[in-house]
Amino acid sequence: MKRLVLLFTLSLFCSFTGLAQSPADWLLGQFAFMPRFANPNSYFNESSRRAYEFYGFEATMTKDSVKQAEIWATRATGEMKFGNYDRAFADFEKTVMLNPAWQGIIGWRYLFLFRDYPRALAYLQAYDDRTPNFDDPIDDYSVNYLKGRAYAGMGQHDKAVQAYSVTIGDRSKRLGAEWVDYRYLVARGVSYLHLKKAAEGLADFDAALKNYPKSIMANYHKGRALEQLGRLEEAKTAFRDARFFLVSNHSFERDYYYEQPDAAYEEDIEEALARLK
Amino acid sequence: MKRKHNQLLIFLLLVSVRSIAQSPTPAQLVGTWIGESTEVDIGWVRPLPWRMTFRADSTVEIALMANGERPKTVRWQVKDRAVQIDTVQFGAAQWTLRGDQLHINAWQPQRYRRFTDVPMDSATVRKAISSRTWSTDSLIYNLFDDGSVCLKNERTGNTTLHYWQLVPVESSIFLVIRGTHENPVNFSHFPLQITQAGSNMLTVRGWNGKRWGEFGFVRTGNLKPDDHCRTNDFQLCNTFLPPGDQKYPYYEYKKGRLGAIRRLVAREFVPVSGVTQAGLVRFRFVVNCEGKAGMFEMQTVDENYEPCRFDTRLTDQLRRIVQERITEWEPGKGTGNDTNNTYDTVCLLTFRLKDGQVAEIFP
Repeated sequence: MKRLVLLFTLSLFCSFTGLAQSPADWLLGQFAFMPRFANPNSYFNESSRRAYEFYGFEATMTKDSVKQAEIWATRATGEMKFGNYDRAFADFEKTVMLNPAWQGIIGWRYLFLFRDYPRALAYLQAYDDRTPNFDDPIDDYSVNYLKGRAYAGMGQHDKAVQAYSVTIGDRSKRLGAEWVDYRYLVARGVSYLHLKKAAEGLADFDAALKNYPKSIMANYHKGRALEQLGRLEEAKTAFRDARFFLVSNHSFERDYYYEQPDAAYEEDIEEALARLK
Repeated sequence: MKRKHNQLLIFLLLVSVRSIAQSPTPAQLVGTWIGESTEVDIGWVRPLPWRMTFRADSTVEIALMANGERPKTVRWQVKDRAVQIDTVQFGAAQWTLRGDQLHINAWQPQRYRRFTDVPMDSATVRKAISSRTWSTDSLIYNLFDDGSVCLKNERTGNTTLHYWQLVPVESSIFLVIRGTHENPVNFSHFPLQITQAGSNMLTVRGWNGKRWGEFGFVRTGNLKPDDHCRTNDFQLCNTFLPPGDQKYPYYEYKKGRLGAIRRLVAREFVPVSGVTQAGLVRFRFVVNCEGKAGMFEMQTVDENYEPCRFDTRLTDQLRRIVQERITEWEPGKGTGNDTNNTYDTVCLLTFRLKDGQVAEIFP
């Protein structure tokens, strides 16, 4: 809902910039907007100073720790997106203290957005321990995938492979191999490459490409695996495929507000192709 | 205890605001109101370059303070202390009068000031101010004869290009500065009503960026016909958009994205031995709609996310790389049906440091 309201605000702003309607209509639009969205909670940009103050005030208005935790988490996310790491961290920590159910989400925030692998792992492990033998979902990831990423970030690729294998195995068993998220397979494959197990890596990249043939990173890392195995012509083809999809299909694996893990970059691909000339 | 105290304080504040606030009567509203400012965020005030003329015949004329803009006329009324403009109804106390100020209270409050006519002759004013350099306590205005104006902020050293025009309201003349290097018509500054125009002194009424009032411009020079505005390299395309409302950093890096940045840092950053500090160095900056970066800010936190100071041999290197070496930014684009337009975009680039080395780079 907040997003919709923000979009509405932006559309009003666009009209102010001369993209639509007359200036006077813009002001009338603003007037129409003001009484309707007098409730600040449904209006502001999460990054604004007003939002920061408001959430702080709102959190003192409730004694419900679950609600309070939600407010601090929302405020922390706004601060984090704006790069105020000290404030974001303080609010994330308050969130977890008030409601440990947030450990998983905050674990992934620390993982992808702070690159704080030890802290991320501690939270993800604590979250996972709450429901043993179950691969908990966290947003659109699974806890074992995220744990694997934390291990990989710390250079512990053997443990990363173990964690990735839990989630890949679980999904394969429950839903079928074609429903395994290709990013999980690429992640495990990359860890295999670090462990000098190129054949295992190649199998993962092939499986990833079955599930998402246009993946830039799966093709690129497949090329690396083939190169390690000495299959240079096939490696060249894989790198060329990566370059092709980089140009034609760059929407998904581009950087959003956090970097796509294992992403392949232009210069990496060009360098690999130059190496195999 | 402290919390209860704060709640009580806020409650009292709200009660007192309500009791002081006075909804306008129709007779009080009749007349012309000049937009003063709108507070879009705490500490961030944006100009409101509008005028509203309420007439006794229940019509109100709304117009942008700019030449060539057609005003719009709609109906208005005050009923049961509520103000209705066109189809929009504001509750009692949402519009309040304080002296000659009209406040529209909302999440982003708007302020208007009752207009007092000060007759001036447009041609005389133009002759007096054009091709001159004027100074206030904070800005230098170079008003060129071709309608462009160069604003130099003496405190920051920042020089920006805009456009000026004289806008008549009744018999008065307003100096309106708007537009940017990239867009000549939008993003008006605070309109200034000219109350005196001499050859060496100009007196205006309006908002000077800090307060509303009457203040003076002193002529400090003349401009030659071949003079032109020499701006700094960086200028926002939307002058008055607060940081919190600028496009959020779902941005595009330069060609090669983070990979290229990592390679550049690997080539140019020299690790500093003997430094055991660890934590984050975060740069926040704006990539404007043309792909130029500016307004750099740095935040440094330690491993426990407490603000800290890093060895300057580390931060100076990073600052130089971010500000001077990474230059080929792509401007942020709109989304959906708006992908052809580019916008000022807030960007983050963060370095995780460990033992004098860059361990991670991320957006």
